[in-house]
Amino acid sequence: MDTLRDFFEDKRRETEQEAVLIPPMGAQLAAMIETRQIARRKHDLYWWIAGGLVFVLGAIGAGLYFRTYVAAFFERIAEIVVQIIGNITDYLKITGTSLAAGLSGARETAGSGFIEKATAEVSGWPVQVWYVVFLVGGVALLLGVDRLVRHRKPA
Amino acid sequence: MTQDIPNIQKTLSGDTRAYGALVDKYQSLIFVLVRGICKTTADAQEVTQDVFLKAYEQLHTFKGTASFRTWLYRIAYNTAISHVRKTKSRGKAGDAYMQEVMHTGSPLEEERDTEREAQYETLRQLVDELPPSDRMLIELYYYKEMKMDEVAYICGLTQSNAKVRIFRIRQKLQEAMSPS
Repeated sequence: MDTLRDFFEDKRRETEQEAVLIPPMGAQLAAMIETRQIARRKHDLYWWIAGGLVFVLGAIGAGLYFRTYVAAFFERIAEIVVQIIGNITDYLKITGTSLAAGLSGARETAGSGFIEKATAEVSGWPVQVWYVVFLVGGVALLLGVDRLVRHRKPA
Repeated sequence: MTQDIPNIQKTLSGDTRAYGALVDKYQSLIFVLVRGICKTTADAQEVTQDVFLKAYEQLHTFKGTASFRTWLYRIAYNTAISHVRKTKSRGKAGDAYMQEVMHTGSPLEEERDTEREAQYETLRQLVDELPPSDRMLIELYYYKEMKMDEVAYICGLTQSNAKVRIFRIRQKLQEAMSPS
């Protein structure tokens, strides 16, 4: 339908004539964006400062008002932390002892076949050693994947 | 549009003057597109400005899968349609546009014969009666150097869906134009 095409082309030409008369708005828009950004940054900064102050004052006020409960809460936290640290220390001690025992076992069996020795050795490891091995392996795997994802080249 | 990439990268790193250069380059194209459905030149100028402000805010989402021009057109399409819906000015857009064009008195207008003028007037009224999205679609379809896949991307449609809708709009206009 040529009439339609002609109509839209004429319409576009007319609009293009209008467009020519419009002054370039690039500089004006860039200035407007800069002004907005400065205003936004100021606004964000004020909100952070006001929010931080309110939070700190609220925390201080609440701490003073509920000081007996706060003290009990921190005491409980301290107990839990001490307990966890004790558990970890015990775990590490047991793991260290097991590893030392395993290594001495490996030295004693030296001389027979390598595969048999290695199998006997590995199967003799306590479960704590396996935890550590799998933990290290898992972390290494995650780090490897992370590195690959971060350093991939864009298609 | 690979020549835009340095300016886009500069803009993303905070250089607003680089963005100003992009605005200067594309403002006419965007204006022509949005003018099609805006009531007045001032309205179209306002929408054009909004388009570039939105584009600046969303520039980090530009992946380069489409050209920068097409990406801008998509923003312009959505902004213009939401503007028309908000202001509800589309109903009177045709009259205002007609009046403005008549007063402009461009040489093109003077050259047209009366029969053609009457046909154009009918068409203008018909196009003005279309919903904003259909109107943009048909304008984009007749826009120079615009491929169907670009039109579909801008309107957020599949290529086949865009084709069907354009076919129906053209058919509708054709039927309304033909003498009963």
